[in-house]
Amino acid sequence: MHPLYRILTPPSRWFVKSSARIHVEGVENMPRAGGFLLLPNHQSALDPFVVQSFCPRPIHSMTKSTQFGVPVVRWILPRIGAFPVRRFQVDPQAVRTALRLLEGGAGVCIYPEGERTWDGSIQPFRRGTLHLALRVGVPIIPVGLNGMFDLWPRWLGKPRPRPRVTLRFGEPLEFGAIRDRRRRQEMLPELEVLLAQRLASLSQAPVSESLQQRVGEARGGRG
Amino acid sequence: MALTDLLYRCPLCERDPLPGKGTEAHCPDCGARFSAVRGGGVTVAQPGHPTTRRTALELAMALELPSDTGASGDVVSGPGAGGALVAPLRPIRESRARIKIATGQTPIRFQGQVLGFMETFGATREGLLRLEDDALIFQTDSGHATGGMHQPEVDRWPLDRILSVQASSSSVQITTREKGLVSIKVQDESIRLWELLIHRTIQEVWHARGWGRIVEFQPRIRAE
Repeated sequence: MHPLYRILTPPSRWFVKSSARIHVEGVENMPRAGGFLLLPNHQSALDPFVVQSFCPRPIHSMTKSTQFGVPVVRWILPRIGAFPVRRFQVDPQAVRTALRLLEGGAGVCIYPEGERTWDGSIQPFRRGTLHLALRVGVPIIPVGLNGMFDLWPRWLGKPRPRPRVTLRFGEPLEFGAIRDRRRRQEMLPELEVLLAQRLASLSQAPVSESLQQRVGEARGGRG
Repeated sequence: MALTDLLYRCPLCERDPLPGKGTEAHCPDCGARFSAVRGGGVTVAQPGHPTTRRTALELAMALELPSDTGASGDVVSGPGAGGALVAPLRPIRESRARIKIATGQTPIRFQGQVLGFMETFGATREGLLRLEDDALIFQTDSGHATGGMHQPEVDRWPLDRILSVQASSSSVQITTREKGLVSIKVQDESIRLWELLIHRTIQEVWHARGWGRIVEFQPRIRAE
């Protein structure tokens, strides 16, 4: 990882601590070595600061490509581990970059809902992210964020002062590397149900109706 | 962004649109006042009733999208909208908007590797956006003169040719087969409302075509 990542982590932690009363749990669930995939729920624009600042190992965050539009930001983001994804199309280059990093033993963070929640609830997961998780075979760490919606909900222009925020790293989910696409398609509902349960439990956030429906269908399909 | 991006209409009396600014909204019809408070909640003060505290989720779930007005129905216009587009079919909603269309993509390189790509956009254009039951239409304020007449530029994106829809910060982004990525910033209206209305109308088009129930609108529209 670039030295800027190490240089910016302490001030970033200070920024988070001055913005919220942060409590971190489950760091013992993080693998000590090898690639891993973090899948947090997404409540606020500041989630990446919190996750990246308090994750015990460096991570590369999949970041929407429009964030790279400002030249200074475009210079900084790759140095702090971010890589772009074009969310409006299937983006093979973003998948290739994620796979390269994970197979090289690095940590990658992807927000599986694909965007911030509007109402605090957990939204359905992007199929592409679940496919990637099943394909690469590294430990999948569900990460629950609680209180970030209070800090800065998507529909407010600026953050609110010092809410209580909890960041919980969950126990790893292990599926192994499933190279066969058809097999991954079969396993998708199982991962979807498990991830929804874990994220709801870790974040204490409600599950949206649309995700409940998807989980119900997935359970029906399995049962 | 404001509370009214979440509460795009009054959850109590369904007034549309619900006026407000920042963390506050006030319904002139039923008199209810909504204030965003800590804990991701919203207080609701209604004349003659005790003030209650609701979660954003509860209020969002109480909202229903405005119904389709149909061929002879009135267009629901956002503040500042006005003027009519050429040959409206089944107008659902219209609003002032700014759009920009992606003109290409730039690779993001780092340490000798291509990490990915970011889009580059053309000039921003301002005009009137209209959702009809088979297309999204944008008519610019500026245009060109033909035979002494002002001819506005009109972009028309048939809904069955839209490949993805997503809200991104304060914009709605659609991907079209012909023009690629189009970023739409709706002025003075809820971006959430527009995203949901476009979702619903595309779903109706897909249903009418027998293409199935849509399960995902990004990174591309997919049905099962």
